[in-house]
Amino acid sequence: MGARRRKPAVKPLPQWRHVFVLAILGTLIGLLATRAFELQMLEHDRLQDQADKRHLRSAPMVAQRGDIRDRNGEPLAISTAMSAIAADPRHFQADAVQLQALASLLGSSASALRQRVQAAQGRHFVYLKRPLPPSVGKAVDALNIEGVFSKTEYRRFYPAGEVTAHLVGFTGRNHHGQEGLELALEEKLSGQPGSKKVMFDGHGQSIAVDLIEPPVDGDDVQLSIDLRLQYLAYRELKRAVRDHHAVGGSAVLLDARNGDVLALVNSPSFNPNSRDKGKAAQRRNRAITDVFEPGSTMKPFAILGALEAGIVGPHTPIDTSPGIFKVGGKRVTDHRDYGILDAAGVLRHSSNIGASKLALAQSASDYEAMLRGLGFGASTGSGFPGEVHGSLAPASAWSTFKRATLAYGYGLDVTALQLAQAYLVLAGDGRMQPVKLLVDADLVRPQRLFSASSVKQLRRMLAGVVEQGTGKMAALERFSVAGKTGTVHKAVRGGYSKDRYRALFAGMAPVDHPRLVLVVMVDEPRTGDYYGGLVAAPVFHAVMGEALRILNIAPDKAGDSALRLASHVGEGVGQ
Amino acid sequence: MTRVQLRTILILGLLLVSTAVAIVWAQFESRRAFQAWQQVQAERDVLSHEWQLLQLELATLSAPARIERLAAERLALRRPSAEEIVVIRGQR
Repeated sequence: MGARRRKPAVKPLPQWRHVFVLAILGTLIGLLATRAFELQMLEHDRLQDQADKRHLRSAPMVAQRGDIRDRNGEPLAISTAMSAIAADPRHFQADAVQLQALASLLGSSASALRQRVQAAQGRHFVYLKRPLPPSVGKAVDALNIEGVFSKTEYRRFYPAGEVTAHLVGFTGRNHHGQEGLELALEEKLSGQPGSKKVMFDGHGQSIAVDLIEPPVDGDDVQLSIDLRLQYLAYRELKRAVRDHHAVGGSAVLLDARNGDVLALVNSPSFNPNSRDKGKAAQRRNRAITDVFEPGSTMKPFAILGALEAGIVGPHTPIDTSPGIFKVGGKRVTDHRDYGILDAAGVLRHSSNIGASKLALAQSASDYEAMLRGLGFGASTGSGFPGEVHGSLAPASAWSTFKRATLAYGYGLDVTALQLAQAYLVLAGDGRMQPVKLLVDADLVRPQRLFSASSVKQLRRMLAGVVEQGTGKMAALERFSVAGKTGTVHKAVRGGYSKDRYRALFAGMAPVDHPRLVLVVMVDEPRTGDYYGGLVAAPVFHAVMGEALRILNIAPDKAGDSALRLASHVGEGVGQ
Repeated sequence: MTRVQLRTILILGLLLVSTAVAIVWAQFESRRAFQAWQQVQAERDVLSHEWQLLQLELATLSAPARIERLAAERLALRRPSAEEIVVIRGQR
């Protein structure tokens, strides 16, 4: 080996060739490095941006809107996932077969689809058809047409339709609450949309690649409403409004034990499932957003105040002759001269004079405190959008005549819901309990406004109104009923209308242990009968009687069935 | 360069390559999982759509107005009159 090394076979390479090769390699590496530097450092942001624009995009993920249900879980508003088929006109490319398949899925024609895409040329997005069942969306995706894709959307349905329309309200564009509880509870119902990263290939087909933010579905909401009672109240109110050619009406049914709103209905109504939601007059939730003067339905409070202050007892005589009573230069009148009445008689005959005299015997500030305590002139806290407070002027602004008129329900404005809430105090033995629209609403400790004994006395008097007074048509065969009628002249510009009325009935049953409170208001009955006792009391009769039966509340008035029960027991079970 | 240094560099290099591969793998797995999730979500949407339609159908079929009509027309049912209702009180 050593010998061979000493005589080399080839001549050594000249030095310059090494240098030359290294120089070329070095230059090439240098060029690469420069280009890499240029791309990575100088143009990185612009290029990245360009690439993302073509291939990566964040796309929204829809959150499911919560359901609205009644107290028994019956659905009142449900969202259901639907598909929307859309196209990106820039990438749209379909052969005749694909287009035909797409057209038949969408129930359209190939030429119509082509036209639609062409009309949107230059835009990124055009809807081809919506809403469609999700299965159609899947089928469209399976066609794999360039630039055509499906999108999930939600649509809201209201199974109870017009029966719960005012209360539940409806959603508008983009599935957001627009009216009613849909609007009031928007935050709870809507949830949080999420987002995902979507990659587009060169053909405009998208693939979702990464989750950026998961969507949070909205919460379900349970109302205190009982759909069975809601339907019942709606049916009867609608019938009364139709039969009396009335402008409208409202009814509010409350659970006397806890202030739960079991039914809240208005007529006329509308169909929230239809695109046409009717006129504003149909959409208004009258029971909460319309005020009226409560008329004679306020008289029980004038008497209750007097009972509490010790001004009258059950047998104190009140002189209402001669049917005209002058107060502060103005006149309070009764239908006729009722002579000497006791407190129960004032209610039974609905004597304006008797109620005025009892109210005037109380101090104005006490009277105001009582009315405010009952919730007049303030929100019920129901949280319903557009709820009005009604109006009640401060006592310092009351004239003597105004104090008299307040006793029989003029000079203050209330909503049907407020009136029902005030009657709830009578049903609750003098304890004030705010009304509740939601099952899980915060419990508020009831506040005592009146002594239980005065309120019980008053309820007996109100039972007399139904047994022998103006409210006979509200009476039930098997249940004792306490209530008060009201017939109010409607306020018009410059005074009160002579021939336009509101018919009212407010009451509760059974008398000794009330379970339900119901207020019925019919606005402008126009077929002759306009008295609360003739128009509103029959609605009360129908709704209250059926509601007590549905809720399985034991009758407190013995019919002959007490005897029949005895005989059934005697006969044995086998009969 | 000592042997020890060389080995350190080699190990670090290997670690570098393996973490790079791991990142790619993790991303791939995450995307695959996400795809699967999307797939399941789509199935859920179809099922929940069906469930919602069933609920709506049930609500429509069991609407009080319809039940009332059917009870009266088909089964000739009616509300009991006051005399026909017998109260049976449970023992306290």
